[in-house]
Amino acid sequence: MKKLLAFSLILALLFTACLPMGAMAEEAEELDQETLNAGDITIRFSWWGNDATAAILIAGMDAYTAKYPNITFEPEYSGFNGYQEKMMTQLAGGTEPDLIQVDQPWMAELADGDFFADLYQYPDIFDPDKQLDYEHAEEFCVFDGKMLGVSGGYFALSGILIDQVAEEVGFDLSKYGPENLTWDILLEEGTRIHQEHPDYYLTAPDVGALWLQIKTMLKELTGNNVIEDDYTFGFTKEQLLEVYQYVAKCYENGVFEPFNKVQLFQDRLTENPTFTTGHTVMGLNWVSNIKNYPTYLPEGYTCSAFRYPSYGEKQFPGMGTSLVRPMHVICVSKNSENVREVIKALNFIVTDLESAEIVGANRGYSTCATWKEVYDTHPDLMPEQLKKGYELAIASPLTKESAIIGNSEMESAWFDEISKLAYGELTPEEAVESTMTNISALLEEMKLY
Amino acid sequence: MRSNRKLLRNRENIGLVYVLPWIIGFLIFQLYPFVSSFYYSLTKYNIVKEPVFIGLKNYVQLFTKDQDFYQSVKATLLYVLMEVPGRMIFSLFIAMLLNMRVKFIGFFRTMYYLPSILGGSVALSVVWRAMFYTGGTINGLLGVLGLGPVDWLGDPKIAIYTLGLLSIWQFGAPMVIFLGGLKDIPEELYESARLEGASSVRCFVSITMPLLSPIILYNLVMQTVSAFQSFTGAFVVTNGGPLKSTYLLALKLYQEAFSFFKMGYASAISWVVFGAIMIVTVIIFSTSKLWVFYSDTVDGK
Repeated sequence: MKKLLAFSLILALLFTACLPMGAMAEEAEELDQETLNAGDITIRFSWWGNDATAAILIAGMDAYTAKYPNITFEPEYSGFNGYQEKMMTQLAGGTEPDLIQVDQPWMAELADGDFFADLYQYPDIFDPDKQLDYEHAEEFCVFDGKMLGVSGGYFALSGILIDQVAEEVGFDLSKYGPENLTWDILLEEGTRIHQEHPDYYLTAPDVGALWLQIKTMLKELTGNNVIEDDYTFGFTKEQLLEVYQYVAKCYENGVFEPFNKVQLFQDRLTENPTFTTGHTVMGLNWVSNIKNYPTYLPEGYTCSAFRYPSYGEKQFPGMGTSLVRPMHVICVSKNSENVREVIKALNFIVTDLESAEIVGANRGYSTCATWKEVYDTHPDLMPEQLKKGYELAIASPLTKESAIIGNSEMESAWFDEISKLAYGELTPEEAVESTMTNISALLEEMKLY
Repeated sequence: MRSNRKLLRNRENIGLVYVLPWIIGFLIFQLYPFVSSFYYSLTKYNIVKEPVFIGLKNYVQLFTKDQDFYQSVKATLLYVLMEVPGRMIFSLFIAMLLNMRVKFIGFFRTMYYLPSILGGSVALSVVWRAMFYTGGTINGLLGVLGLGPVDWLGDPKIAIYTLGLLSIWQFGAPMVIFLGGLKDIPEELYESARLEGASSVRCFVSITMPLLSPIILYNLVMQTVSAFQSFTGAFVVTNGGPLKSTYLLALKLYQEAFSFFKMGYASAISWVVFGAIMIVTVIIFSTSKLWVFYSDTVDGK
């Protein structure tokens, strides 16, 4: 009797366990049928990126079309320069594509425009809780309770050591370990390197890279945002002076390549002859460059990742070191004629295993569980040092930046202030005064407007 | 009589049909943006939201608070003052060379016009940057001559002049017009002058310049308008730097519109640039009575 009871219980358990799986399979089949019966649909998808990226993404789309032959894609890609202008014009004119890649700092401004579909409204076809790293998605993609896009992958700030150059100048990363470099160590090592090898520089930041560094240093020092959401500074004059003095010393000691030389190659370090001839020891930049740098360096040169430097003993307790944010956010146009089908395609692109195997690390480091499996099993898709760079950064992230600091005018104003310091036009003290005055004026103007 | 009128009316109608595409294009692509940009200049408009009327606030902001505006005005004036005379003199000089009777003149004319076809392109601006980089070709050549490297594009005091050189190099369009003007000057005038013992310089001053003056006026106006609107070089070669020394008004306008999405503010800048061009053009035209010689008028003026 007991045996019969036990057998019945197991049977009942199995039955109840299989029921939701069966229901899920049935649901998936229904969604498949819905797509197949949706008729011929062309999805316009716009993004920025080079030809290699385009080839990979198009292959991912082809995989979707192979599953659903009635769904085809019309890729619209270009370089990053000019992409935002084109996208904004399209949005204003109502001619935007169905799927739109957006840079994360633009999202706050675009969220006001009511351009994108709220993915929360489609729980049957897009479940962020299950399919994506929801915590991050909410942080970067949710505005006023609406999920306006998803991150295809994250990217992060990292130190990128050029191994052969480091060896030539006697910079031994293992002496410190990839997680323990501080700004003081870099200053000390960079000074020594330039003294011993006058043609070499520790690094060559353009205004963008320098801004990333200064922002990071301020956050590491203060534990606050550079500009808080209430339009106030998150630092004191003294703290800004400390950071500016550090930067000035880097130029003075030849740790950084002179700004007037570097700035000619703004956003194009890989065209800078000092870099391409192997006279720059490291980059402090987005980790994805680990893959790009060797292409522009002398043959056989390799790169290693290390964690973005910290402020050492002065580091604000609990504050990380690396800016981590979505490499881009992919949004669905609210005006699309086939919002449901576009969301399903988006779902495939950012979460499906098949897509992961095609796209790999090309679109940043996905936090989706399915993709992480692929990173472990396909080292060719996620090179070891790239993975290490991401993992080091994600283990020590800076807090999310305020929306104001991502504003393009605000960024441009900081670029101007930093340039005055980097060109040596102003002393650190004068640069602090200038920064406080001019950024305050801009904040006032932004408040009014 | 009646049929003649009908024919005339038909002809007028046909004429209208012929010019209609231009009129439609003008209304849609020129007049409408022109008028609407004035309206937008009185609004706060960031593309994302509907424009909000704010009166003259953009103009007040521009003239009273925007330090970059004055830096842009300074850079633009420097650029115009260097580029316009530089290009005019250089194009006239080349036109005079190409007006000589030498073999293969057609080939030379083609070759000298080439920079104008390529001159404004982004690709050439990139080459320009590589040439004038501290370790670039120009400094390499100077090095051979024993001259020290010049920071052509990285020094805020020099960069605007380097940018001007790029523009002067695109002398083809004014050169072709000068060449046409030179060809219209009757050869007999030079022959008579030479018989009277006039030197080449005298011939140039007393014959070429006066008879070419209407062409000079035309080129001067066109080149001034174009110089005020210069954009590509500053955008591609220096991106307005170093320290905003090459931050031309057209570049500022572009950045305000398409980087900061302040369309209303950018429209206000465009109207200020328009006003500046108008003033300069009126000045040029009003002074032209003093130096332009029209050979077909009764009193020579």
